[in-house]
Amino acid sequence: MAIDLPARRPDCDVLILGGGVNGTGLARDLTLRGLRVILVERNDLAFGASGNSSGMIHGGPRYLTTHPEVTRSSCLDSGYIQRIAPHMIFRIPFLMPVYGRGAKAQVMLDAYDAFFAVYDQYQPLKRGRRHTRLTADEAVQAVPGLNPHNLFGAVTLDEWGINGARLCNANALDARERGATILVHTTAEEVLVEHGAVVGARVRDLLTGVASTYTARAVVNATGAWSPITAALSGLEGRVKVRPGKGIHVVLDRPITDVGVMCNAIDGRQIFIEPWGNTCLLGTTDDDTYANLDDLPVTTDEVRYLVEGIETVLPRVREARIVGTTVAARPTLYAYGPTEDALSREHEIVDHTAHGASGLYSLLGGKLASYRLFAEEAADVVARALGFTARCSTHTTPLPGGDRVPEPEMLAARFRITPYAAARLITRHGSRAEAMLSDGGRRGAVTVCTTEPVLACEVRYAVRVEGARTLADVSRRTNLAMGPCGGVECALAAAVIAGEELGWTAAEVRAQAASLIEARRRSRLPAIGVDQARAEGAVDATLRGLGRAVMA
Amino acid sequence: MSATETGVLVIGGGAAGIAAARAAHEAGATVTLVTLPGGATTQTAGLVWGLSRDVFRQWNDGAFREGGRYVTVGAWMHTTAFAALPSLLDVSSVTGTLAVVDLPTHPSWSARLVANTLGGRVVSAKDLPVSETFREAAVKFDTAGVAEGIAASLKSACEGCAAVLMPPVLGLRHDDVAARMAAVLGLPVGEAVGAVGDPPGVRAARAVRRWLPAAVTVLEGRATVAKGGRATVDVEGVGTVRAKAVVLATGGLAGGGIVFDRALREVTANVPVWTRTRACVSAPSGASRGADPTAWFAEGSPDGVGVRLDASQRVIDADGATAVARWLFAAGDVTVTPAGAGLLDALASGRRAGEAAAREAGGG
Repeated sequence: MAIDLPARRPDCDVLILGGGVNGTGLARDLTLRGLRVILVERNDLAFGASGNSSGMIHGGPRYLTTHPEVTRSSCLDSGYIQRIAPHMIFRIPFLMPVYGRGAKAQVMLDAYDAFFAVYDQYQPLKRGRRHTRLTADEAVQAVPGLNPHNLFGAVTLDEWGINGARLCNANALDARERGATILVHTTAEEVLVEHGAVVGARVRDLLTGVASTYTARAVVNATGAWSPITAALSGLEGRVKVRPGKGIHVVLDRPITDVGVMCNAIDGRQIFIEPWGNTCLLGTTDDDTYANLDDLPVTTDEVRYLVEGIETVLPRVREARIVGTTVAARPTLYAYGPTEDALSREHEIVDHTAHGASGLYSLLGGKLASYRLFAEEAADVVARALGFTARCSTHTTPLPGGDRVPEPEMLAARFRITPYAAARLITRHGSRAEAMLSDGGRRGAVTVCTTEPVLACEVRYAVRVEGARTLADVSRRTNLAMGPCGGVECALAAAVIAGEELGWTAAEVRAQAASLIEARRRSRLPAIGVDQARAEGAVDATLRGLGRAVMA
Repeated sequence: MSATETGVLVIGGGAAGIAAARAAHEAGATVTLVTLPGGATTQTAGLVWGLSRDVFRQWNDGAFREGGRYVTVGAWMHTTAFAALPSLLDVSSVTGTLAVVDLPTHPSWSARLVANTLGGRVVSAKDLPVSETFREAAVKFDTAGVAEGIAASLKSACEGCAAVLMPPVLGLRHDDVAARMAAVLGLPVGEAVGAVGDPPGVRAARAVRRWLPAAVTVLEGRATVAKGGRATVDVEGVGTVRAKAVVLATGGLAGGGIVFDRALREVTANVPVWTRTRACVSAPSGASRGADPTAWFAEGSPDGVGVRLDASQRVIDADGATAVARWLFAAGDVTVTPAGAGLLDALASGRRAGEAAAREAGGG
């Protein structure tokens, strides 16, 4: 196909397709090395697996026996992430209970004990605590409500949690502030290849419908589970394969346990419940998916599978209030044959020169915990190919707000907000929380979403600085509407603020609020229980107030 | 223990129950009403939606007004809603400039956005209550003199305007705040409509309750209807009530008349539950581990499910035709409601059921 591109300096050195953690991590790395970067994301940053993972920066214990070097590098990288984003990470202690009697249970507990004794060697790299071995009584003390029936003993292990959506936004923001262009709700429609070399891409803004062409010296396909679709846009059908594995989480309204607990599901798979910020996650499923990646469904079956499994170790999960579910497809490396759990979680960089498109790369596989390392490896390849020699500095340069973690109490006193609101703001924005509150004035310190909580200044910041273009984008950046109210209390208020920033009409404000509330309901419906069913009436009343259900 | 006797027993004190009690009383029956706190009627924002308008017109007693164009927070106009309160401003009746009053500390009230939408002008008042919620501000407007003082401080800014639009803060306890401000300003003063639980909604729910005739006996407690040839209802903490006719007006999922717990159930009389597509869902389903709620709720709003009525307003059985009992009627959200049903429909169905129940009681 002949495309008439003017012979001029390309718009950028590297055009990155995909705004997950690999794409944004790569954008930051390349920008820090001095490359000019444009990133386009079809939905929103962290829309897929990055924003809907289990939210852990773990040390990779599953590789301990087969690939100990992977465990070591994972732990090392976990340590780096603590250094560059200390405000974002939070400790998640886990308990692995062993049930049963006699020699079999004893062997199992000894095996766990020995296994985590080896893992302990790497824990210092990520400031992790050594594992402990607990008797049944000690385990019940450590996790009140743990099912004591037939409990033999337990071991503990120490991991770190992180909000994947915040991590993507921090990487994207840093890249943007260093000169990169980050475009959300913009999809690649064609990757342009001339004489065997990639020259850019034609993209379309999905909100405005406007198409444009960006020229680039290299193009990186970092679209995760979407990467085969993206590859097809450059005529490379079948050259890129992943095996998308759908995983869901069930989100509870509060941490019903301070300690994560692992257990086996009905089919023997390992699942867990973990305290996560001011919520609790039950996870996760892993099933091959052939569904539309932009609109993956969560089913009642999946929710019940997780709740039934967790109930065996923590019976009170049955009484907990489910406020939503998360769903995404892992971009697992392709293999035909193995069951989902047996697939490799490794990553791979594909250079498409051999496929007739030099300068085009695909990033496949990977996981949240090792995103930085993957981005570094990819940046090494891409930067070297373009003649840049600067070395990676993403492990030493703090992410935005990560230079210093303010004290919540001090921030609260200074800006007359609650210490809890201050603490939550700090987990998302670190040292930047101060400037956000200062710039926002009296109006900025007003609480919009009471459950998270989210302040008015943060909503404005999500639009003005972090590039949110819809209310759902604001929600992903702030956790707005993610709590029990599902947006009934806050969607309209937040839409008004976002609308002021984005110039929405009153009708658009209303539509954005209604669509966020409906999206939250959709996420909740497969998990609906007694209390939720009752609360749905209030949601209907609100939607009617927004003109959704009634158009007389 | 001797049982209390009544002609018509209405179970539920929301809009449907109150309308049923009023209709039965007007038809000459002795009426007892059993109520519990909460329910969907308390979740009105102050604007009244619904497909039925006849009852509304007939019972319009000044507290409710005919439809108009009302501003909601978020600056959108409902074009066909009814206002449950005299304080709401029908902006279509305003000819001339509308003064929109700023409330700087509330996140969802953007006077600028409202004024831009309506072509109005933003004005600022002195000594506005500093609060983050409309309810907090409304409590201050209840205090004698506060609303008048604020109105006085608006006077010069509102010169040349045709009306004044306030955020939804014009009192929680008092209904005359708008009128008091209007007297000071010499201009019509109205408020926008807030969300569920905001001051206009609280006042509107109170206005509905005022429709209950004083002659109706009110009991508080959870009621359970016994199956049988005669209407016998156990009211927790009160005792047994014998009635000639019973109206179930216990609400839907929001009100607590219908619950979802692995299956959908009607809790007061244990009668079959149906969806909008007319499938009876409270019979045993094919799933051994509990039914899938998405199957019913995907049809539309979750509160559409409920009991089904025959043409005489009687609750029907799982066969879809036979009345469960001659004496059992139902109204409001506990019944299958069409999409878009609202408070007006609860009132209308309450009135139909109340009249039918009174006929049954009189004839028994």
